[in-house]
Amino acid sequence: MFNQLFKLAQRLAPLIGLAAWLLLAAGLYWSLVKAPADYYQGEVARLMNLHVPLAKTSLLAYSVAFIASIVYLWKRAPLADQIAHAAMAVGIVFTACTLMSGSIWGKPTWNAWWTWDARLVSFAVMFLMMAGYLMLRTYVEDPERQARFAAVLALVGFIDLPVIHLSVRWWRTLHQPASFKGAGKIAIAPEMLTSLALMAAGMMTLFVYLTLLYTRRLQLQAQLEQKQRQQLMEFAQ
Amino acid sequence: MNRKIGIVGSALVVAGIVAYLAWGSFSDSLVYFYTPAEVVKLTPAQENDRIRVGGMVVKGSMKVKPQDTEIEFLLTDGEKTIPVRYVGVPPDLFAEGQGAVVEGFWRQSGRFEAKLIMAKHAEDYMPVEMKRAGKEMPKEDLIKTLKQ
Amino acid sequence: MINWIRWGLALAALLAAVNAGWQRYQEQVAPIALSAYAQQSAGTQVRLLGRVSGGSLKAEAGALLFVLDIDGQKVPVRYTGKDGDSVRELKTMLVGGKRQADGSLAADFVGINPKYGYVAAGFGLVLCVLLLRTLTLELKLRKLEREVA
Repeated sequence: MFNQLFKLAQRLAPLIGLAAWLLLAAGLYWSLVKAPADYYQGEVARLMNLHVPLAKTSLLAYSVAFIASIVYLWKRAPLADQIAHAAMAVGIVFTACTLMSGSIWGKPTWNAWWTWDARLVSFAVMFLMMAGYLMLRTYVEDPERQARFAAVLALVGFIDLPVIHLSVRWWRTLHQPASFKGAGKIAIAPEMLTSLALMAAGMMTLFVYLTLLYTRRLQLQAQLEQKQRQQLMEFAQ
Repeated sequence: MNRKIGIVGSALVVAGIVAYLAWGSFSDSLVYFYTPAEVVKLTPAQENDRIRVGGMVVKGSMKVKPQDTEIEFLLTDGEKTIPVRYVGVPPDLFAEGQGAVVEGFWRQSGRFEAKLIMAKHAEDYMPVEMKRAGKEMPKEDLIKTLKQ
Repeated sequence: MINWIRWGLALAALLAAVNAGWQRYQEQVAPIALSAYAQQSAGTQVRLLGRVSGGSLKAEAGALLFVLDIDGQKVPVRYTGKDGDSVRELKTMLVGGKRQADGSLAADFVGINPKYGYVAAGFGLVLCVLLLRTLTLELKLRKLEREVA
């Protein structure tokens, strides 16, 4: 059932990719033109429309990899492992972009490109987790063992996500508290939410698109390897 | 061989990160900045430690000496208030009634010598017109978040 | 063919957004240079970016007086708007208003230094990284499809 759905999604991928970039273009327009400047931060507050969606998409990417890893350990389905791998490989790009955009926003507002507060450090730890995950996958050759080790690593690293979320509550930070406070309480004026929503939709759709592509890439690579192994066997005989 | 080193290396990195996180979440030693109430309790031996102090810039306390671009202001956590001196131009978002994190040295004379000022802005966003109309977004009380 | 259309559409939409952003920046944010300011006739609406000179800030009935320091050149400003609280000595600010015959500025707008370069750099860098990743992944996939077939 899921396999068929996934195949359908992969066939629709070109459309999803186009939708993602059109949403991002609309988001860019709304962020730069339609959204008003902030009363306190002025023009640089427009970077919120970039940074927050990137951060949410990075967390989504790790969560997808986490769930796929559980499914893999439980069912041993190769597709689950491929999705986890793809989500991590795509997620690390979004995570790097989150850190980069945060840095570019931090300099004009905080007066610091980087500072060692709990939110920044816990987010950078997620980046290292993703890098460690991808490194591990290149070190272990046996596909079954590679998938197993990687899945366990993804599970262990997941504890960082609640830490990221709660870091601004647990510790004193330079980073501001969450603007979305749950129960419908939002500290962002309605005029500024359309740009944020468009960018978030665009980033997440792009994540879905790239993950579909990357999964396909892993599937094709597996097929190629199998083909080569067969040829080698025939040659040996 | 290389592969083994890689696996052991990655495992060590992960173990280190996990240990760090576990340690961080169960101890309160992960303090990014002191509050003024904590700073005044520091001993003379700590005079040469570069530390951070966070608080709210007291309204009406900022004095600018334009000749040598020196500023002085009071930083408070609602409990204790300390004077801070800084030579240089503070960041644009640094303002009275707003949060700030200063990095520098606590002198036993009872003054903080700041080498770096960072502005701690709130999580609310709205257009100027709304602010002028007296609207407020639901944001957290700065003084409360300082003491967590 | 379909890929050319997809990429064409996406890039055209992005470029249109960038262009609109640039237009808005020029019309509503960008300050003019002091040399251009000197040539403006009295009464023209302009924006200047400069630092509020130390010791120059004075409050008058219904107005705020200060001197804007632009690369060592001084422009006297008389501000009559509602955001006077944000004006501070030694702070770099964007000031908008009408040029007076004597070269001073009758301001009705004061705002924080826009630092728009950070906005442009942030969006530009991130979108370029994501575009490149999309492109490289699509090309890699096409190559693989060919190899498997």
